[in-house]
Amino acid sequence: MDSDRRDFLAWLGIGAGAAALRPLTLPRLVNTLINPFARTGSPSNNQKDQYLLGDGTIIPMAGGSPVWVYCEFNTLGSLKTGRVRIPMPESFRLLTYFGSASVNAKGGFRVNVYDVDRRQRLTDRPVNMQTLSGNGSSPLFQGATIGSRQAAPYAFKETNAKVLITVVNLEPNPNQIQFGMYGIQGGRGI
Amino acid sequence: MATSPSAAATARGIVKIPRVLVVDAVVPLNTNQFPSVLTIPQDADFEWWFLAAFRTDSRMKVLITESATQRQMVYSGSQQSSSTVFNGVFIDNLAGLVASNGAFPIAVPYVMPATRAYQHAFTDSSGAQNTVQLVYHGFALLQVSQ
Repeated sequence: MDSDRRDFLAWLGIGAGAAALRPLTLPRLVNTLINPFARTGSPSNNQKDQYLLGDGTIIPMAGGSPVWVYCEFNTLGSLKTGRVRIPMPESFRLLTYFGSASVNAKGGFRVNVYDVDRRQRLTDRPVNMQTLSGNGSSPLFQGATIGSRQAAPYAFKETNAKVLITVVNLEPNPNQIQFGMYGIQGGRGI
Repeated sequence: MATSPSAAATARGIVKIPRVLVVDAVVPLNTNQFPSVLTIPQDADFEWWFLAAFRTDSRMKVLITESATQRQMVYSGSQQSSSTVFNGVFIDNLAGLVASNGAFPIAVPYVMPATRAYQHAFTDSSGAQNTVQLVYHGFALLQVSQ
């Protein structure tokens, strides 16, 4: 067994050298402000597994600037559909969706995201806002961003990319819906 | 575990000093694009890691523009009618409240050059005066002599 595989199994808690508990299963002792994208120290030693804020990010990217791409719909009536084609900023890489609705008793709204240039659905079917998007307080980052330290964030077409956003109001009342994407414009892979 | 000097100084001649930059504004009721400026201190570039917010009412929108480059950090994707002005993103979609749930991680840190100004425009729709504070958490990239 090569050392990389052994280290990986140890990281999972399997085999020799495995840690008893992963830090994510441990209670937080203080209400520390944690940036989940900061690099961690050691993957196998809890004592060393303190993240190093400011020492780099787990996302294999550097540079670029943070951008919030935002669309807001005119007030939608009950069960009505809104659709907008967004011109994206150049060299945009998606990190997370965010959204909110003025009425949110029955789920707020459903949303479908479609990359027009690549003809790719980024959501398999319309998704309830809570299960797709977070907000500033509770950001829900894309799984590919934090689920793997190898995966780069999704990059739209470099120039003139377009995304089709379709929302459906789930409420029996008129609803003011906001939906957006947070990501990085520019930057480079590392 | 204390951060070692070598970890703190990630590049030769640079030391990262924790720093917090603040934008304060008292926005009159129903005001469109009330301006407020954040100027990065001149002693060091600033590496931006977190954004946190305080506001007295969530019905407030924010626009952020980098002055030197005119880079819009909040980008309008909606097809507004010609009579509608884009006033930015709702503040609760932009950043979190540390008191309740925590700040918004910038994920890939952004370096703001020393002395550069960042224009903020706040739009209130709450119908009451709105006191707002945006807080940039990060590091001053302080150059030190060897």
